[in-house]
Amino acid sequence: MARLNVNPTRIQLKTLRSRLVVAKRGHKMLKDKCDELIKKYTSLVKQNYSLRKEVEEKLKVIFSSFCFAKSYLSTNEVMKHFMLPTKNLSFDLTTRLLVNVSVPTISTTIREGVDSPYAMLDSNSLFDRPTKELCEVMPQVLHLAEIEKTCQILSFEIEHAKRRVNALEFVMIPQLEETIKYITMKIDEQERTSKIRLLKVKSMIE
Amino acid sequence: MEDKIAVLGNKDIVVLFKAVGCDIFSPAGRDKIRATLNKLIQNYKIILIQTNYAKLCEDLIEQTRISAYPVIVVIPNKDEQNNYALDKIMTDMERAIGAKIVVEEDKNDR
Repeated sequence: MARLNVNPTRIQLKTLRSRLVVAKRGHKMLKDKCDELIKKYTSLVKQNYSLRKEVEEKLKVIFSSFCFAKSYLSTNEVMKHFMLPTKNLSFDLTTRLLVNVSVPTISTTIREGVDSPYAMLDSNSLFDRPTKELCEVMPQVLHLAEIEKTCQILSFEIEHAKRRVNALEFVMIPQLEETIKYITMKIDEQERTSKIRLLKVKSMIE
Repeated sequence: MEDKIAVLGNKDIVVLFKAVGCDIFSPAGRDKIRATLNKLIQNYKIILIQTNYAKLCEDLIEQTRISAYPVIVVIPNKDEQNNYALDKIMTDMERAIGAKIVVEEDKNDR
C-alpha cells in the first residue's frame, strides 16, 4: 500500500495518529450501521417479495374480470361510468427514520361514498366485482408501495455504506498505518544520527 | 405535490382506478409517456405505473430511487406472465447484499 506524501515531522505524526483513531472509530461505526441495515433489509425484502406476489395475483384477477365486464360496453361508455368517483382514498404521507435513513410511511383509509360510481340500469353487474375487489386491494397496494420504497432506499444505503467501509478498511487505514510507521522510523533514524554525532563530537573534544 | 395517486397505464385498465379516486393518465408513444411520467414525478407522491410503461422509463424511475417521495409502484398488465417487478427486487438485493436470499428460499419451498 502506497504511503501518503507527507513530511516526516512530529506534527505530521500527531495529526496522522489522530486521523487513524477517527478512521478506525468511523470504520467500526459504519460496519455496525451496515450490519444493522442488512438485518432490517433482509426481513423487509422477504415481506416485499411475498406481498408483491400476492398483490400481483389479485390485480391480475381484477384486471381480467374488469376486461370481461368491459367487453359488453364501448370504451366511451365505460369512461362515462367511472368519470365521477364515489369512493376516495385518503392517506397520510410522512417519513420516519430507520437507522438514520429517511423512509416513507403511508397510512390509508378509504372514504366510502355511494356503493358504485355508475347507475344500475345503465351498466352491467359484472363491474361490481372488480370495483369492490380493487377497493379492498388498494390498502395492500399502498402498503406494498411503502415496503418496496423502503427496500429500495435501504439497498442503496447498504451499497454506499459497504463502499465506505471497504474504502476505510482496505485503503485509508492501511495508508495511515504505513505512513505512521514510515514517519516513526524516520524520526528514530534522525534521533540515532544526532546521538552518534554528539558522541563523535564529544570524543573529538576529549 | 398532491396527496393523490396517479395511475399511468393502458386506457382499458387504468379507468378502473378512477373508481377509487385516482387520477389516470394513458399517453401513447414513448416520448409522451416519458414526458407524462416526468410531470407526475414532480406533482404526485404516489404513482402506479404498468409494467410495459415502466420498461420505457427505467432511467426516470431509477432517479427517484434515493428519495422517500415520490413512490413509484409497478403494477402488472392484465395478461402478462413475466415477473418484471420481482426481478427488480432480486437485482436490488443482489446489488445490496450479494445474494438472492428469497429465491433460494422460494426454491426450497417448492
